[in-house]
Amino acid sequence: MEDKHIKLDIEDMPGKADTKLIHFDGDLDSTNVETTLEVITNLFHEGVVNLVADFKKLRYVNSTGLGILLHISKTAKEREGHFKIAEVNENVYEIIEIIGANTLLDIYDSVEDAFNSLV
Amino acid sequence: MIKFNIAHSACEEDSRITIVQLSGDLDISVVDNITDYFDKLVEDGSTYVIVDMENVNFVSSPAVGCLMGCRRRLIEKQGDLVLAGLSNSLKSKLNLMGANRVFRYYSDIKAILSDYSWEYDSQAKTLSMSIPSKTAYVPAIRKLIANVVSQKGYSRKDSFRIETIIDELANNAIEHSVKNQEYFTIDFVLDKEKVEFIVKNKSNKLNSKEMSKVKQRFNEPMIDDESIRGRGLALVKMLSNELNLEIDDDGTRVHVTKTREG
Repeated sequence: MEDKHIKLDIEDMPGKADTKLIHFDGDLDSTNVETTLEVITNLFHEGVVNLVADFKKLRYVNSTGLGILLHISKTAKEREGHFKIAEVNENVYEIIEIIGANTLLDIYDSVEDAFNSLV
Repeated sequence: MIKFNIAHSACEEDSRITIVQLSGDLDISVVDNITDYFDKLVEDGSTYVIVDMENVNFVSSPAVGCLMGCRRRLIEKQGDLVLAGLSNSLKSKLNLMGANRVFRYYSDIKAILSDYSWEYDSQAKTLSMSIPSKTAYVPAIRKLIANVVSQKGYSRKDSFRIETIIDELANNAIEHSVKNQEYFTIDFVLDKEKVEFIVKNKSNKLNSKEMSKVKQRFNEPMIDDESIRGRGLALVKMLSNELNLEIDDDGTRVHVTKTREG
């Protein structure tokens, strides 16, 4: 059971060393929340303060997955940065909404909108 | 060339099902024959028809369209038209014409009877699973169950919600069990209207004070904004129609019912 069911692709933003775009691909669940959080915590340690998460290919999220998203959002705010989420599919959005996290997370229709909001 | 022919008989295993045997070439010239034949069948009370295609060697697209029309008429009578006895080459020709998006194909009568009793006798499907008490097994289990309900005609939304319910309850059954638990179990009953699950794990014996505390937490799940964990039960509660907890010397059982919405 080596398969972690999720892939994270981290993209640099030209001219913005403190900003990264992360593409989520797969399922964010209890089997991979810890490694996911570790990857993102390392980015914060490298001096990144603004993160845009592209959820276009995120098929599924469970309650612990949501837990780390809220945690990441809080950490970004503590560092005077932002955590923005874009292109959330309908099913994932429903889960976010039920937990009431849609008011705590910054969610945008597109990655472009999310970046424009950072200025 | 085999001459076109159409005939029918009642299914031996279930007389409510009609079997129509087609043979020969289904070209444009036979479309009216088929339509008239089905008109008569519907008039005589047939609702669920298996079309046996074993002796058909050619199907034209007007003939496929005609069978689609026959199916529509049967569906209006709460029935269906399904295809059986298709050779691989006929199947691929039909698929090119989009028939696989309309008709169900079957290769054996047992599968038809099982689906028929599911549809018309509301027979439930049951499944019991013992699952190793490790988080790594949960994704495969939740996806398996979501696939079963989706194959049974539940909407994508319903199957996604059911996947979430299973995921959360399975993770809880692992997290809140006794340390040496090797397996936990999921019992699963599915019918056309609803799904029921019982997720069972071994748990430590509780005194009455601890018991009421657990029940309190179960009945009113609190979300702690500071914590990464602890949102699962609140989520299950919102996604399901009924949620009950039983704890005794045998362990912890969570019983959940989710009615079909689409």
